Amino acid sequence: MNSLLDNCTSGGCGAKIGPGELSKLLTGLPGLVDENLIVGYDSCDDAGVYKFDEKYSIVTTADFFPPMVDDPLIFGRIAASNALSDIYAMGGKPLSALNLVCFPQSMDMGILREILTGGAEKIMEASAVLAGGHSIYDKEPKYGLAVTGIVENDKIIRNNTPEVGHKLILTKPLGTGIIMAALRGGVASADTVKKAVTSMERLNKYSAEKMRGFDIGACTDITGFGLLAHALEMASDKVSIVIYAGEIPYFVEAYQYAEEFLVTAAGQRNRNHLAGKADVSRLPFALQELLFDPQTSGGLLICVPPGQSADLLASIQTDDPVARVIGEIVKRGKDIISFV
Amino acid sequence: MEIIDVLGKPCPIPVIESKKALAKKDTSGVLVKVDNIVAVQNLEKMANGYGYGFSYVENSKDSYDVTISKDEKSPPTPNAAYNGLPVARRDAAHRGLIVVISRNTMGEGAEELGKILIKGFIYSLTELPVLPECLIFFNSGAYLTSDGSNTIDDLRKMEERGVEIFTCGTCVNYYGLQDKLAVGAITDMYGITEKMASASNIINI
Repeated sequence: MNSLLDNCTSGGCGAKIGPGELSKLLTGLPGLVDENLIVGYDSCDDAGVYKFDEKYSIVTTADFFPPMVDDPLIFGRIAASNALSDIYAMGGKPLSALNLVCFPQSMDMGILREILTGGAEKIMEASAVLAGGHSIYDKEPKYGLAVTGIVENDKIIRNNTPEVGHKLILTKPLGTGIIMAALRGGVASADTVKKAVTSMERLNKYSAEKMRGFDIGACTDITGFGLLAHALEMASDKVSIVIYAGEIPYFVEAYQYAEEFLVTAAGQRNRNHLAGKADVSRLPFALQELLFDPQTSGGLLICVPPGQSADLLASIQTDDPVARVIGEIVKRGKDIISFV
Repeated sequence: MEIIDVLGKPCPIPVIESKKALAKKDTSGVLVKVDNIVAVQNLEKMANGYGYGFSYVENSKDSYDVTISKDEKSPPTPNAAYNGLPVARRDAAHRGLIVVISRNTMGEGAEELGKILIKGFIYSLTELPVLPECLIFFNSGAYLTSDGSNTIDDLRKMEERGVEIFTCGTCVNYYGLQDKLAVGAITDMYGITEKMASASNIINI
């Protein structure tokens, strides 16, 4: 009863309710219309944006999930990085955070203290402050943050406004979902887990800071829906996306695990969601699985004019060397997402 | 037939437990009990990938019996939601298929695109169910087998699996790549001609 993972049936962003189900749930909810709500949930964006005055908007988001690793300190860091990421994906700067905590009454409170320490470290790294939180007893532990950030009105970066010709940059390797699933199954090597953990703990702050000064067309962060579902949201009903299959950064071990069919339920739900929208049948099976793999605290997917992509990539790579140009935006065609 | 009860266990545990059981020599198949359709689909991908027979029965919304058999393919389940390709089993390199690459880009048009395409092409070669017998690089294709090329890892993977890789020596000298060959061996025009003449199939890039 004192191991984090033993208490959980699914961890990390893989525990998210699937994108298809979610949009059904949200359709037709009663609510006021307020013109100051610049970005709401109708566009499936990363965070809500509410216009505060003529210069600034408030960015709000909340994210929490069950543990995907046994070490409470690491879990705290990953959950907080993941929650903060939505602010970065909107072009914003986090200001304050609230802890969201579910914890079993029978578990050692020292574990919770470690989780909160990990979270607090990341809030500090983000130059934000912890303002409070809410904690309840629950059968399974869960942790995350509600974050408030700020963004200049003319610097808001949406997830669904890419322009034809723009290049797509992905800043972190894919495969954390598969590696964590392999860990759960007791077949992941310690080295591999360490690599994935380092990636998940990493704030998207550093890549986001590099976006300043570039004419970013759109940005989102990759989470439990996997790369392709986020790409689909980015394309919305306006453009199509060509993905350079050979350029996708991923953990080699995740590719190997996928070849052994060590894949997640969330990955299969993502595959089902994308059926008919992205034809992956010509790609190797393992690469398909990586494209559907639910990412916890995944990287940013950034859309940038072609003339600026090399400079932005070089700048991002100084801190996040695995970042790659992984595709481009093209005119809306028969396929929303295709591969070369 | 061994029964594996993984009700309540998250993916990939059903796949891991089934593979363990199927790995035993005297097991001809397994009956896997799972509680959700997504686990059924993940088992189906595994069964398809290994060429095992697969079928399932839905007892209720949270109870499914999946049968995976090692020796013969069961008829495919109707409405199977799996939309991917089975993973090909890999054999030794294909005798007689030779891929000739005479440039460091692919197709006519933008050079940047051409470079992405050639990298994608070489990567795709590594995923062929049966690998080519031999890859031959000449003219600016020599850059692809030299230090600094972004396809070296894919080429080494193929070499490890028995694919012969040759680069034209004259070309290496012409481009000043003498000390930079990173994979395969140098050959001359006799070697290239001999290989091409003995090929049953040639892909020319």
